[in-house]
Amino acid sequence: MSLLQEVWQAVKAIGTGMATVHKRVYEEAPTEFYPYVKPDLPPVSVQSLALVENEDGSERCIVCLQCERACPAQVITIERHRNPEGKGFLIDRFDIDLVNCMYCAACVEACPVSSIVTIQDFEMSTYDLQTLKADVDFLHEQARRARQWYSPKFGVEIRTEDGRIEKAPPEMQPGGLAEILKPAEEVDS
Amino acid sequence: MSQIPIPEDRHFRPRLLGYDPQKSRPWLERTVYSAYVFVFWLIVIGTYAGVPALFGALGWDSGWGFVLMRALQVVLLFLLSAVIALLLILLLRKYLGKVQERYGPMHYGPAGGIQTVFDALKLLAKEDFVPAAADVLTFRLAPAITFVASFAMFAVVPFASGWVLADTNVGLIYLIAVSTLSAYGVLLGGVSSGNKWALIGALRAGAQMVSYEIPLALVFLTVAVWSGTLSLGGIVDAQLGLWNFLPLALPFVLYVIASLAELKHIPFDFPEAESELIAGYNVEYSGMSFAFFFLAEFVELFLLPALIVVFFFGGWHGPLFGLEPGSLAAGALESLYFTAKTAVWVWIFLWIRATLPRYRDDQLMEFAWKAMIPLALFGLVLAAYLRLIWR
Repeated sequence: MSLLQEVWQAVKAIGTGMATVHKRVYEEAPTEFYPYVKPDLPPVSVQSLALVENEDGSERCIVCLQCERACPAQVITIERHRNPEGKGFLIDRFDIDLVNCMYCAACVEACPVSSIVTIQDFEMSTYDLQTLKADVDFLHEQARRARQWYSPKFGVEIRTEDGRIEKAPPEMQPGGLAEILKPAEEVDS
Repeated sequence: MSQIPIPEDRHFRPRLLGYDPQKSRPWLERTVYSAYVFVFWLIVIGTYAGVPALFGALGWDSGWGFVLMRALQVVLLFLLSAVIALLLILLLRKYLGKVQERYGPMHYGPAGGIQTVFDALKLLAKEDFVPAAADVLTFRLAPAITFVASFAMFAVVPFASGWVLADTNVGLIYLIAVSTLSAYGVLLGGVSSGNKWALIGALRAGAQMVSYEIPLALVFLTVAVWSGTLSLGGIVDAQLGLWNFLPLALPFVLYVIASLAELKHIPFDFPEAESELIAGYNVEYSGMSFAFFFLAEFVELFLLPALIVVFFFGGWHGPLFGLEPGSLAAGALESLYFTAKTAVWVWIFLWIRATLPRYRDDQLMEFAWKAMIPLALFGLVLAAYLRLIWR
């Protein structure tokens, strides 16, 4: 009797397993089609760095060297001269060595005007490492290309009721984000 | 410092025929599989009806002309086995992908449909490497033995009434003899590789295939006793009223289990257990030698379900819709029935492969000798007794 019970249990177990497997066939695979479809990254996603300009195209960076001092990997090199007409400084050179950068975003935290920001562009792979020694023009271009960026001053994410982190609509953002988003959308279209 | 400008679309995005990742299109997949089955069907019709009709019209159906006709049919069957292997590898990868919640091949051809063609081309172009420790003659011979042993089973498998190369009255004995031969190929291939994984895999394969040949042969014998003939066509014809899987339920289940072991399929894939033996007996093979092992495996994956259909599911039988039996249209329809029934059984084999885990080696042998063989003998006696009192 116990042998028959064992056989029956084995048959039942195999049957249950095969039914479970068959149900799986009709489920949609969660595969991401990365090279064809870009992934939907969370709003705060430290993939690369960029230097934001003001909406009128003028320089937002005040060349205060805070980021250079904050950088633990010392990959930021800034040279500046005094503005001959008026206050402040002008940029001679603003280089970030994106090869040696460890993307800790300490520079982003340190920036008093939220000029240096994190962006979602992670497709930085290249055959020539020299292309990753970013200069100021490249960083501006990256900021224009970016769809969205994060800065600790403005913040862009909200937590929805079901716990997901989503990008906040511009009207919910504290000061200035709507202005920052505008040029990005223009670049898109 | 000047920057090299980086274009908006920096990355290579291949755009190939029929590829749209954002839509899953089951109908496209089904079309691809149907196309393969259609080619398969055309080759079957050409082999069993076209070539004899051609040679009959030319008056070459005796003497050397007959030999030539058979040779042409064998060449066509080789083509058929290539189509079978291409389709079954694709189906296996797609099905396992679906079960494991991924897509399987997607990129080459509509819904990944010609991926296996590219794989075959890759194997053709690859170097056929012989390791220094190998015994060259045996190493070269082993894939050929394995493939020929599997391929020779085609000779007695009837695709429709009269559509068979040799409808001999010793068909079952021929099958037993030929299917046992493939164990030699596997054993020789593993032993001659000069590799410990291959040796262990080959010894496992030898033990497993010899053990499971016995219940398989006993089931063949049961079917022969029940049908009163050793010819496969005769066995199919004997099932006109009642398909054999009802009266021979026990031998039928034993046949399915034993043919899984014969195929070296999960849950009995000890000879090539990836996690233990890397690839088992064929670990040192590459290029076309490996392709022949692969071809043999997938030809068997078609032939053993086909034999299930022949022995237990009425072979080519099905409604003929008033077509005259023996005509070309009736033969085509019958071979389609045969193919459809076989396809269902191939799917069930793949389903089992996707579900079950691997046994342990001693459990496998214990199962063969303590359960399968006594049950097969019991089934044989029961079938003989039923045959005496029933018919």
